[in-house]
Amino acid sequence: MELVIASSSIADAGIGCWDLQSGAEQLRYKSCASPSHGLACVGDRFLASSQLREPSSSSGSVLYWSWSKPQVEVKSFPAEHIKPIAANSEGTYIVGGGQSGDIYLWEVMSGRLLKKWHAHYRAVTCLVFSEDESLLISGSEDGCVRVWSLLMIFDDYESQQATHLYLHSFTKHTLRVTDVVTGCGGCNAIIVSASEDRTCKVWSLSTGRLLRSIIFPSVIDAVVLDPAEHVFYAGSRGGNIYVAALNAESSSSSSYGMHIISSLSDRSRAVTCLAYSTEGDLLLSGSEDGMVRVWDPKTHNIVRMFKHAKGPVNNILVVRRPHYLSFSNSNASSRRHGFLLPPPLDKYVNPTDEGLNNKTVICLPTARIIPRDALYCSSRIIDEHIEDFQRQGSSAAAEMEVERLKHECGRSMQMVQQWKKMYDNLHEFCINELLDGDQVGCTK
Amino acid sequence: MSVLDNLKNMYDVKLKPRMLRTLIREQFPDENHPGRLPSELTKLISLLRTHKLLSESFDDSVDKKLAESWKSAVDEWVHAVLSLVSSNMFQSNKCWTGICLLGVTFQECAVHRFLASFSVWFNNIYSHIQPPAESQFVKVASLNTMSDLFSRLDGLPNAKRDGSSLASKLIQPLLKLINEDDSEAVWEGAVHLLCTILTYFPASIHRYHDNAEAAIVSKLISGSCSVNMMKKLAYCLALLPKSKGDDDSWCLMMQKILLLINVHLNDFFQGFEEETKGSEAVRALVPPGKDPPPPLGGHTLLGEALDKATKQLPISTISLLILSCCMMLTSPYPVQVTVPIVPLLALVHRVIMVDGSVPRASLPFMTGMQQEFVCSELPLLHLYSLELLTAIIEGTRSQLLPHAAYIVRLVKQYFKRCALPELRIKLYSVTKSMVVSMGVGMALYLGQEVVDNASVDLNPVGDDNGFTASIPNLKAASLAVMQSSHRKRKHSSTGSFEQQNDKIGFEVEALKNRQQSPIALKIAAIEAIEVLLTVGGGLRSESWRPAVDFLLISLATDCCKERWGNEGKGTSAPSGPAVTLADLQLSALRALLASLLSPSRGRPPYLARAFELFRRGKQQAGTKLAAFCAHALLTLEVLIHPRGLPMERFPASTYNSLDKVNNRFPENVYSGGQKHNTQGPPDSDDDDDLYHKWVGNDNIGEASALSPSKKTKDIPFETWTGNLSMAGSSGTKILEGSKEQLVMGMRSNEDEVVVESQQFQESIGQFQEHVTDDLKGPILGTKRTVPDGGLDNKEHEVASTEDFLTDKQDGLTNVGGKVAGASSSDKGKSSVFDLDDDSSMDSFPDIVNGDPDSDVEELG
Repeated sequence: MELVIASSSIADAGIGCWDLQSGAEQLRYKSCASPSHGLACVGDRFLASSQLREPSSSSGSVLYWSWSKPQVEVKSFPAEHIKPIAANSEGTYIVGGGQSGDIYLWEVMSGRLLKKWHAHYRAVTCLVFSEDESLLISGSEDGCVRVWSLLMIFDDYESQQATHLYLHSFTKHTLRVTDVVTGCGGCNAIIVSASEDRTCKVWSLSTGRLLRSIIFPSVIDAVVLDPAEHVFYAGSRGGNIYVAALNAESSSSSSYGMHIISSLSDRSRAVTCLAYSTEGDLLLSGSEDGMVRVWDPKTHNIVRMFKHAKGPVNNILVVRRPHYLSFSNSNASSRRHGFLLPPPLDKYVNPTDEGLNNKTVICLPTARIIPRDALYCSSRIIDEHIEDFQRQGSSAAAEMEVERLKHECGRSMQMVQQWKKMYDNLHEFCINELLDGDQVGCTK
Repeated sequence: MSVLDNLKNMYDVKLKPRMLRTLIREQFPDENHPGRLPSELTKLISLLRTHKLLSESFDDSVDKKLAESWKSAVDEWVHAVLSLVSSNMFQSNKCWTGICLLGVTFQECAVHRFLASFSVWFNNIYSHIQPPAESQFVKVASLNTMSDLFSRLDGLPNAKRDGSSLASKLIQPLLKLINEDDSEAVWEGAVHLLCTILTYFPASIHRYHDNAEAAIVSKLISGSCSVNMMKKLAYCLALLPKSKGDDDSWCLMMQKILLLINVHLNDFFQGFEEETKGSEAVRALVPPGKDPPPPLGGHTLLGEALDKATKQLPISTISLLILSCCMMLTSPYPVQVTVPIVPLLALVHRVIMVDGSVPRASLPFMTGMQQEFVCSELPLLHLYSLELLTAIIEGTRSQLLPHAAYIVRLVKQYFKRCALPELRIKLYSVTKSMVVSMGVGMALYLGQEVVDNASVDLNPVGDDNGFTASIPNLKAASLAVMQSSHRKRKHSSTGSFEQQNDKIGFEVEALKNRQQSPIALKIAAIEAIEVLLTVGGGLRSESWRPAVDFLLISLATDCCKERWGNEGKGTSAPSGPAVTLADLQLSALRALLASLLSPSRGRPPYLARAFELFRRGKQQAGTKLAAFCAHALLTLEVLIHPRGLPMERFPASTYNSLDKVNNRFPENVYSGGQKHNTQGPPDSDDDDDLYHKWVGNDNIGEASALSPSKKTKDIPFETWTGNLSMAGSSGTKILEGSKEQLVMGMRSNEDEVVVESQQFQESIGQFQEHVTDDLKGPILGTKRTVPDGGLDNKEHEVASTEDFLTDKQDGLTNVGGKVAGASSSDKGKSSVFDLDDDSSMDSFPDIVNGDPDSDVEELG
């Protein structure tokens, strides 16, 4: 069961939520004006979104919604405007990209700002975790895409030694980077970045080289990888979704340009965001006209449409429906599961609070599945007892027992002899006494 | 009875009641046979199990009478068992049998029967737990049977409350048993039952939490039990916070245990570490200005216990307390908890940094006896600390990130000091779990370290076991034994071989006196390398990768030679070592597979030899090794026949996949020797570099990125001819230069089942509109001249596309039968281009121009 979650840049539209299979609309979460890439689902527990703010306001804003309530539950105000945010799949960290080019990393459970580092010369536009979540990839307005090793970021010693913090810095884009995605393959994964310079570039994570650069007819604002990475889909400002070849046949004869296989189009306005549902094998696109379209990528047909708002949709997420979430009694069940929302995110790194720095909050597994048969021990007890019994009855034991008994017997015999001897002595003594007494009596 | 007629077969339901009755009649200890041998019980139980005699499960088709008969048979069974249980005290053997069989009944009987009578059964057993005069083995059996009762109860949702109330009745007698009984078997049973209750009905212990803690801890620190018993106690202590089930009690327990450990380590390590370390550790646990928690197990208890044992806990107790921490970190808990991560890591650090050496300053105060004692206990303590480290990694998962660098340094430091095989094995497993849980980033950090250490541990110097020293040292390199090294020299273009040779040679010098490492250690080292290759073999691994690849192939060759070379030797050896040698072979082959598959810059250099090994391994039929080798061969097949499969999902390629095969077939004849290549191109020539592959595709405008060979380069040509012929046959008139577009559009429509004509019209209109839009796009774009590196390319490209399309129009008419001929001559061309694009990247646009043009020339 998958849910589609969409947000838009105008506040009164809120966050829409639909069941992808049935198409039924679920709860609508209120008052969210998110920037592009500013919506994240944190570990399936709650939704978080950064907010568009007036340029005059001094701080940024990140809001949390729990699944069960439409109102904003937790508000945080980071030190500057945060646009893109991302969370790792376990939901332990939220990273946010600032207007100044800084990247902020918060621990969700405690709200502590663990790290903040200067990543780009201009505002960060998108953030994405690598497959194993040990790397972070950021794109910026300065056209730069950088790959960060989180381990390195946290290692104060190494990061002082190193000349730069990043693992790779890709600088071939000439204009603002609009979207970055990465695929499977661990250290050999590819990174696809889209930019306002109308190109999408494919990078190799292992070598750091540019593998392919694809020129599109118009600016690409959103990219999503096909799960098997044969192709990727690129949503353009012209309204088309282009299918570009990665590991698929493409002919140079395509009328769109090199490597572009085909396109999906609904004569809509600019495509602003894309998502892919692996379960249903469906492509989702959000458009400036406020619609979320669901495509079947095989046939290029639209199979469903969700109307979100009058304004542009700019984020779509496809999330698995949390198993405890049923909208009828979700309040009770979420409380039972202990998923109260965590505290707001800190504004500054706070090195002085020793007590907190020492600790970390973890979720232990709530229950472990053990095969039930392994738990029963009656028959084990029987077996053990029998083994004991048999060990006592074994031939070696019997032999030893016989030895012992023989020994005992010998000792007893000896004892008997001794007693006998003593008895004899005593007997003799008594007789002698008696006889002596008699003799004395007689002599008297 | 009407069910007395013949049985159908051994699955017949009728069999079951009859068999059960026979069992009761003949196998049961009764008045006539009071002391039946318990060994008959095993037979009885296995019969019950295999035939599911107590399950009373049948489908609806079963006759009602039969069901009744079965039910009454089970009733009889239960009655017989209960009468055994309640037999008087002086027949404890019968009583014991009854209790055990009741336990089996709990497990086997039907749900409704269990629900109906579990409280009666509970009381039956309960009466045997309390009286002091009961014989010991009856007590043990009743404790265990009780535990089975609760295990079964947990699976049944409606009985939760009853179970809880029953459990709370038990707690006090249990604690009394732990405190007062003097037999270890009874303690063990009581602790086991306590653990079961803690797991399934934790709330029932809530009231007795402190008493339970005191009872367990007093047993634990008395040090009077066997190791197994101590482990059970440690586990029980770890489960105890569940009885309250909140964050605070978990943290308090953790804090108490850590405090106890650290305080006692202060005494134990006195003189072996800096004085300040202990107080630092305590301060980290109890922040200044806060009250320390009450000591573990309560005040009075600890004082008493320590007085007895000369104020010093036995070291084994400290180890077990550490084990308790491990279990707390890894066993389930209902709510999220706050882990004192820094003190935990500090504890690990503190313990493993003490190696028994005495700093000069405290030398005068140290007696030889004391040092000897500490040194004798240290390995076990180290082992448990590493266990704790593993548990921390497992428990905190991604939350560990801020501390990961600290752990890495810890591990690196310890690798330098650690020499005992058991400890090194543990350390390798720690590195493995670190790399797996923290991914590529961790592999970057630990790679070199793991490789260095593993190659030392795998070095077969001074081996008298018949392993030939196949890792080249300085002398051996000159010998002809090294077929492998020759091959390596031929292939390697860099000086890596020489470097590696030097390096290993140096290590050989340094480690002349080192003993051959045991097989278990070798396996651990190989597994660590395997994990490293799996996770991070392709990223920044240039410094160690060639050496590791070589190490693994020579290792695999080596340890497989031994067994397969002389089969007789393997069988004559005692079974123990032969098994471990097989394990070594398996892990070596696994690592070899990882080294072949892990992404790298070049083709795997030892592919051929590896194939040979796997093929030979596969012949060891029936073994795990053979199964793995079969898997490896399948996996590697992709390496030698890279697959450029047509896309199923995209109309443009689906439609002519058939043509393609036909067209290609004659070519295969020319390329002699490649037999399996109807789908994928053969394992051809020189360069497998991914980069060239991608760019190479750019040049030819070609399809499958995985197949850089000559043949697939024909695809674009065929593809578009296919497309055009499709268009031609449908006979649609289309705008010039947009043919392909429309064809694709129409295909997508073909997938729909019914297209109404009106819609169809519309869609054509729509497509045309789009075509013009889309064509305008790129042209405008190039005129705007984006200041990009690829600018030149772009202009060329657009131009060429246009050419291309018009050319195609002309060429279309006489494509016909010439396809085969054209493509074969095209093949010659494209191989020339192949050379070009490898050498010069900049000529990219020229090639794009060249390709279609040349095609057209040929066609025209």
